[in-house]
Amino acid sequence: MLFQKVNKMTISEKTEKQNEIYEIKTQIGILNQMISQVQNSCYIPEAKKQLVSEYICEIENLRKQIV
Amino acid sequence: MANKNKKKQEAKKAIAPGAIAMGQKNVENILNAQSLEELVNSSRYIDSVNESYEQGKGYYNPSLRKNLGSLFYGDPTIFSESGEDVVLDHLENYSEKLNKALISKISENLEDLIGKLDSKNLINYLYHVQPSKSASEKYKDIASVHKELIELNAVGKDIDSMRNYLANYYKEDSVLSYWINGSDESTKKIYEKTVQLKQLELNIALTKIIEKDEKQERVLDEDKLRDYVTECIKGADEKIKPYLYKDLAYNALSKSK
Repeated sequence: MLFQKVNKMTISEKTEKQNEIYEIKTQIGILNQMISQVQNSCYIPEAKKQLVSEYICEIENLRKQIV
Repeated sequence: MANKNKKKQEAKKAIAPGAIAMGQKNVENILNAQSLEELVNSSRYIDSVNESYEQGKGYYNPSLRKNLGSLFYGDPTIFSESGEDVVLDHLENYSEKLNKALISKISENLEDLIGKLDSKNLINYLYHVQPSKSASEKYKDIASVHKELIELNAVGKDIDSMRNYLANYYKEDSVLSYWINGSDESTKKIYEKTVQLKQLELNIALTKIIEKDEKQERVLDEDKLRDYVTECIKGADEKIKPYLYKDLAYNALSKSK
Protein backbone atom coordinates (compact mmCIF):
# COMPACT_ATOMS: atom_id res chain seq x y z
CA MET A 1 0.00 0.00 0.00
CA LEU A 2 2.65 2.48 1.07
CA PHE A 3 4.87 1.64 -1.95
CA GLN A 4 1.99 2.34 -4.36
CA LYS A 5 1.19 5.70 -2.78
CA VAL A 6 4.82 6.91 -2.74
CA ASN A 7 4.93 7.37 -6.59
CA LYS A 8 2.27 10.14 -6.57
CA MET A 9 3.79 12.19 -3.70
CA THR A 10 5.90 15.35 -3.35
CA ILE A 11 9.56 14.96 -2.33
CA SER A 12 8.96 15.77 1.36
CA GLU A 13 5.95 13.45 1.47
CA LYS A 14 8.07 10.76 -0.19
CA THR A 15 10.85 11.19 2.39
CA GLU A 16 8.32 10.95 5.20
CA LYS A 17 6.76 7.79 3.75
CA GLN A 18 10.14 6.26 3.02
CA ASN A 19 11.12 6.83 6.65
CA GLU A 20 7.87 5.19 7.68
CA ILE A 21 8.64 2.19 5.45
CA TYR A 22 12.17 2.02 6.82
CA GLU A 23 10.79 2.04 10.39
CA ILE A 24 8.34 -0.78 9.61
CA LYS A 25 11.13 -2.81 7.98
CA THR A 26 13.26 -2.27 11.05
CA GLN A 27 10.40 -3.50 13.28
CA ILE A 28 10.12 -6.61 11.10
CA GLY A 29 13.88 -7.15 11.37
CA ILE A 30 13.71 -6.80 15.15
CA LEU A 31 10.87 -9.30 15.37
CA ASN A 32 12.80 -11.79 13.21
CA GLN A 33 15.83 -11.40 15.44
CA MET A 34 13.67 -11.77 18.57
CA ILE A 35 12.40 -15.06 17.13
CA SER A 36 16.03 -16.26 17.16
CA GLN A 37 16.34 -15.09 20.79
CA VAL A 38 13.19 -17.03 21.73
CA GLN A 39 14.48 -20.13 19.90
CA ASN A 40 17.74 -19.93 21.83
CA SER A 41 16.57 -18.96 25.31
CA CYS A 42 13.07 -20.37 25.80
CA TYR A 43 13.35 -24.01 26.79
CA ILE A 44 9.68 -25.03 26.85
CA PRO A 45 8.48 -26.06 23.34
CA GLU A 46 4.83 -24.98 23.79
CA ALA A 47 5.84 -21.57 25.17
CA LYS A 48 8.38 -21.12 22.37
CA LYS A 49 5.69 -22.00 19.80
CA GLN A 50 3.21 -19.54 21.34
CA LEU A 51 5.62 -16.61 21.31
CA VAL A 52 7.03 -17.36 17.85
CA SER A 53 3.56 -17.59 16.27
CA GLU A 54 2.63 -14.31 17.99
CA TYR A 55 5.73 -12.63 16.48
CA ILE A 56 5.05 -14.13 13.03
CA CYS A 57 1.51 -12.77 13.14
CA GLU A 58 2.88 -9.33 14.09
CA ILE A 59 5.37 -9.52 11.19
CA GLU A 60 2.54 -10.40 8.78
CA ASN A 61 0.51 -7.39 9.94
CA LEU A 62 3.51 -5.08 9.50
CA ARG A 63 4.19 -6.49 6.01
CA LYS A 64 0.59 -5.75 4.97
CA GLN A 65 1.24 -2.07 5.74
CA ILE A 66 4.05 -1.78 3.19
CA VAL A 67 3.01 -4.13 0.37
CA MET B 1 -16.38 32.01 77.34
CA ALA B 2 -15.78 30.37 80.72
CA ASN B 3 -16.24 27.01 79.04
CA LYS B 4 -13.70 27.91 76.35
CA ASN B 5 -11.10 28.92 78.95
CA LYS B 6 -11.70 25.73 80.82
CA LYS B 7 -10.96 23.71 77.65
CA LYS B 8 -7.76 25.68 77.03
CA GLN B 9 -6.62 25.02 80.57
CA GLU B 10 -7.41 21.32 80.10
CA ALA B 11 -5.36 21.20 76.88
CA LYS B 12 -2.39 22.79 78.61
CA LYS B 13 -2.78 20.41 81.47
CA ALA B 14 -2.91 17.46 79.05
CA ILE B 15 0.46 18.25 77.50
CA ALA B 16 2.30 18.46 80.79
CA PRO B 17 5.29 16.02 80.71
CA GLY B 18 3.74 13.52 83.15
CA ALA B 19 0.46 13.48 81.23
CA ILE B 20 2.25 12.98 77.91
CA ALA B 21 4.12 9.94 79.23
CA MET B 22 0.86 8.50 80.52
CA GLY B 23 -0.90 9.27 77.23
CA GLN B 24 1.82 7.48 75.27
CA LYS B 25 1.48 4.44 77.49
CA ASN B 26 -2.30 4.50 76.89
CA VAL B 27 -1.71 4.48 73.13
CA GLU B 28 0.73 1.56 73.40
CA ASN B 29 -1.78 -0.43 75.42
CA ILE B 30 -4.57 0.28 72.94
CA LEU B 31 -2.40 -0.66 69.95
CA ASN B 32 -1.13 -3.84 71.59
CA ALA B 33 -4.71 -4.99 72.17
CA GLN B 34 -5.79 -4.35 68.56
CA SER B 35 -6.19 -7.06 65.94
CA LEU B 36 -4.29 -6.94 62.64
CA GLU B 37 -7.44 -5.79 60.83
CA GLU B 38 -7.94 -2.93 63.33
CA LEU B 39 -4.29 -1.87 62.99
CA VAL B 40 -4.56 -1.92 59.18
CA ASN B 41 -7.70 0.23 59.34
CA SER B 42 -5.96 2.70 61.67
CA SER B 43 -2.97 2.79 59.34
CA ARG B 44 -5.22 3.49 56.35
CA TYR B 45 -6.85 6.30 58.36
CA ILE B 46 -3.43 7.85 59.11
CA ASP B 47 -2.50 7.55 55.41
CA SER B 48 -5.64 9.48 54.50
CA VAL B 49 -4.83 12.16 57.11
CA ASN B 50 -1.29 12.55 55.71
CA GLU B 51 -2.63 12.60 52.16
CA SER B 52 -5.02 15.38 53.09
CA TYR B 53 -2.09 17.29 54.67
CA GLU B 54 -0.07 16.91 51.48
CA GLN B 55 -3.00 18.36 49.56
CA GLY B 56 -2.61 21.48 51.69
CA LYS B 57 -5.59 20.88 53.95
CA GLY B 58 -3.45 20.91 57.12
CA TYR B 59 -4.13 19.04 60.32
CA TYR B 60 -7.15 21.12 61.45
CA ASN B 61 -9.16 18.00 61.08
CA PRO B 62 -11.84 17.81 63.81
CA SER B 63 -12.17 14.02 63.65
CA LEU B 64 -8.37 13.61 63.89
CA ARG B 65 -8.30 15.83 66.97
CA LYS B 66 -11.14 13.84 68.55
CA ASN B 67 -9.46 10.52 67.76
CA LEU B 68 -6.06 11.57 69.08
CA GLY B 69 -7.68 13.04 72.23
CA SER B 70 -9.49 9.77 72.91
CA LEU B 71 -6.43 7.62 72.21
CA PHE B 72 -3.97 9.57 74.34
CA TYR B 73 -6.08 11.00 77.16
CA GLY B 74 -9.48 9.34 76.90
CA ASP B 75 -10.97 12.77 76.13
CA PRO B 76 -12.08 13.57 72.55
CA THR B 77 -12.34 17.31 73.30
CA ILE B 78 -8.85 17.83 74.71
CA PHE B 79 -7.28 19.00 71.43
CA SER B 80 -10.22 21.02 70.17
CA GLU B 81 -8.43 24.31 70.87
CA SER B 82 -4.80 23.18 70.67
CA GLY B 83 -2.30 24.58 68.19
CA GLU B 84 -1.28 22.59 65.10
CA ASP B 85 2.16 21.77 66.58
CA VAL B 86 0.54 19.99 69.56
CA VAL B 87 -1.67 17.92 67.24
CA LEU B 88 1.31 17.18 64.95
CA ASP B 89 3.48 16.00 67.87
CA HIS B 90 0.79 13.61 69.00
CA LEU B 91 0.09 12.43 65.46
CA GLU B 92 3.77 11.68 64.83
CA ASN B 93 4.03 9.82 68.10
CA TYR B 94 0.89 7.82 67.34
CA SER B 95 2.02 7.03 63.76
CA GLU B 96 5.38 5.78 64.99
CA LYS B 97 3.78 3.51 67.58
CA LEU B 98 1.10 2.34 65.15
CA ASN B 99 3.73 1.41 62.53
CA LYS B 100 5.76 -0.51 65.09
CA ALA B 101 2.69 -2.44 66.29
CA LEU B 102 1.51 -3.06 62.73
CA ILE B 103 4.88 -4.38 61.48
CA SER B 104 5.20 -6.64 64.51
CA LYS B 105 1.66 -8.04 63.96
CA ILE B 106 2.29 -8.53 60.23
CA SER B 107 5.53 -10.44 61.00
CA GLU B 108 3.55 -12.82 63.19
CA ASN B 109 0.94 -13.35 60.43
CA LEU B 110 3.14 -13.10 57.34
CA GLU B 111 2.39 -16.54 55.91
CA ASP B 112 -1.36 -16.21 56.56
CA LEU B 113 -1.38 -12.87 54.74
CA ILE B 114 0.52 -14.26 51.76
CA GLY B 115 -1.97 -17.14 51.77
CA LYS B 116 -4.80 -14.66 51.25
CA LEU B 117 -3.36 -13.32 47.98
CA ASP B 118 -4.34 -15.00 44.72
CA SER B 119 -1.69 -16.05 42.19
CA LYS B 120 -2.20 -12.97 39.98
CA ASN B 121 -1.63 -10.72 42.97
CA LEU B 122 1.41 -12.71 44.08
CA ILE B 123 3.00 -12.48 40.63
CA ASN B 124 2.36 -8.71 40.61
CA TYR B 125 4.03 -8.55 44.03
CA LEU B 126 7.21 -9.92 42.46
CA TYR B 127 7.62 -6.62 40.60
CA HIS B 128 8.01 -4.79 43.92
CA VAL B 129 10.35 -7.13 45.75
CA GLN B 130 13.88 -8.20 44.87
CA PRO B 131 14.86 -11.88 44.95
CA SER B 132 16.34 -12.43 48.42
CA LYS B 133 19.49 -14.47 49.05
CA SER B 134 17.54 -17.43 50.44
CA ALA B 135 14.99 -17.28 47.59
CA SER B 136 17.83 -17.24 45.05
CA GLU B 137 19.44 -20.27 46.66
CA LYS B 138 16.20 -22.22 46.88
CA TYR B 139 14.74 -21.25 43.48
CA LYS B 140 17.66 -20.41 41.20
CA ASP B 141 15.66 -20.44 37.91
CA ILE B 142 12.86 -18.21 39.22
CA ALA B 143 15.23 -15.78 40.95
CA SER B 144 17.39 -15.34 37.86
CA VAL B 145 14.53 -14.32 35.55
CA HIS B 146 12.81 -12.39 38.38
CA LYS B 147 15.98 -10.30 38.82
CA GLU B 148 16.07 -9.54 35.09
CA LEU B 149 12.42 -8.46 35.12
CA ILE B 150 13.03 -6.11 38.07
CA GLU B 151 15.99 -4.62 36.24
CA LEU B 152 13.97 -4.21 33.04
CA ASN B 153 11.18 -2.58 35.04
CA ALA B 154 13.65 -0.14 36.60
CA VAL B 155 15.02 1.05 33.23
CA GLY B 156 11.63 1.18 31.50
CA LYS B 157 10.87 4.85 32.06
CA ASP B 158 14.00 6.36 30.58
CA ILE B 159 15.16 5.69 27.01
CA ASP B 160 18.88 6.13 27.78
CA SER B 161 18.79 3.67 30.70
CA MET B 162 16.76 1.30 28.54
CA ARG B 163 19.32 1.55 25.72
CA ASN B 164 22.30 1.02 28.09
CA TYR B 165 20.70 -1.99 29.72
CA LEU B 166 19.71 -3.63 26.42
CA ALA B 167 23.10 -2.90 24.83
CA ASN B 168 24.76 -4.80 27.64
CA TYR B 169 22.12 -7.54 27.67
CA TYR B 170 22.38 -8.22 23.92
CA LYS B 171 26.09 -7.46 23.55
CA GLU B 172 26.64 -10.80 21.83
CA ASP B 173 23.80 -10.29 19.35
CA SER B 174 25.25 -7.96 16.71
CA VAL B 175 21.90 -7.54 14.90
CA LEU B 176 19.96 -6.43 17.99
CA SER B 177 22.93 -4.34 19.18
CA TYR B 178 22.81 -2.43 15.88
CA TRP B 179 19.10 -1.60 16.31
CA ILE B 180 19.41 -0.81 20.01
CA ASN B 181 21.75 2.01 19.02
CA GLY B 182 19.35 3.14 16.29
CA SER B 183 16.06 4.99 16.71
CA ASP B 184 14.15 5.29 20.00
CA GLU B 185 11.30 3.29 18.41
CA SER B 186 13.67 0.37 17.73
CA THR B 187 14.99 0.43 21.29
CA LYS B 188 11.42 0.53 22.67
CA LYS B 189 10.37 -2.37 20.45
CA ILE B 190 13.31 -4.52 21.60
CA TYR B 191 12.56 -3.56 25.20
CA GLU B 192 8.88 -4.47 24.86
CA LYS B 193 9.72 -7.86 23.33
CA THR B 194 12.40 -8.59 25.92
CA VAL B 195 9.95 -7.89 28.76
CA GLN B 196 7.42 -10.18 27.07
CA LEU B 197 10.01 -12.96 26.75
CA LYS B 198 11.13 -12.60 30.38
CA GLN B 199 7.52 -12.61 31.62
CA LEU B 200 6.96 -15.84 29.73
CA GLU B 201 10.17 -17.30 31.17
CA LEU B 202 9.05 -16.31 34.69
CA ASN B 203 5.65 -17.93 34.16
CA ILE B 204 7.37 -21.09 32.92
CA ALA B 205 9.75 -21.16 35.90
CA LEU B 206 6.72 -20.98 38.22
CA THR B 207 4.99 -24.01 36.72
CA LYS B 208 4.95 -27.71 37.46
CA ILE B 209 4.00 -30.66 35.26
CA ILE B 210 0.89 -32.67 36.10
CA GLU B 211 -0.66 -35.77 34.54
CA LYS B 212 -4.11 -35.06 33.08
CA ASP B 213 -6.10 -37.49 30.89
CA GLU B 214 -2.92 -39.52 30.34
CA LYS B 215 -1.18 -36.39 29.10
CA GLN B 216 1.36 -34.15 30.76
CA GLU B 217 0.22 -30.61 31.38
CA ARG B 218 2.11 -27.58 32.67
CA VAL B 219 0.25 -25.63 35.37
CA LEU B 220 1.15 -22.84 37.79
CA ASP B 221 2.72 -24.24 40.96
CA GLU B 222 0.93 -22.06 43.53
CA ASP B 223 2.83 -23.53 46.49
CA LYS B 224 6.14 -22.76 44.83
CA LEU B 225 4.99 -19.23 43.98
CA ARG B 226 3.76 -18.60 47.54
CA ASP B 227 6.95 -19.97 49.07
CA TYR B 228 9.12 -17.94 46.70
CA VAL B 229 7.27 -14.68 47.52
CA THR B 230 7.50 -15.46 51.26
CA GLU B 231 11.27 -16.02 51.00
CA CYS B 232 11.71 -12.76 49.06
CA ILE B 233 9.70 -10.74 51.58
CA LYS B 234 11.36 -12.27 54.63
CA GLY B 235 14.79 -11.62 53.18
CA ALA B 236 14.06 -8.10 51.95
CA ASP B 237 16.23 -5.15 52.93
CA GLU B 238 15.31 -3.95 56.44
CA LYS B 239 14.75 -0.41 55.14
CA ILE B 240 12.07 -1.43 52.65
CA LYS B 241 10.57 -4.26 54.70
CA PRO B 242 8.06 -2.02 56.56
CA TYR B 243 6.72 -0.72 53.22
CA LEU B 244 6.49 -4.23 51.78
CA TYR B 245 4.74 -5.50 54.91
CA LYS B 246 2.22 -2.70 54.89
CA ASP B 247 1.56 -3.10 51.18
CA LEU B 248 1.09 -6.82 51.68
CA ALA B 249 -1.35 -6.36 54.58
CA TYR B 250 -3.34 -3.70 52.71
CA ASN B 251 -3.62 -5.98 49.66
CA ALA B 252 -4.31 -9.20 51.55
CA LEU B 253 -6.95 -7.72 53.83
CA SER B 254 -8.76 -5.82 51.11
CA LYS B 255 -8.90 -9.01 49.01
CA SER B 256 -10.28 -11.11 51.85
CA LYS B 257 -13.28 -8.80 52.38
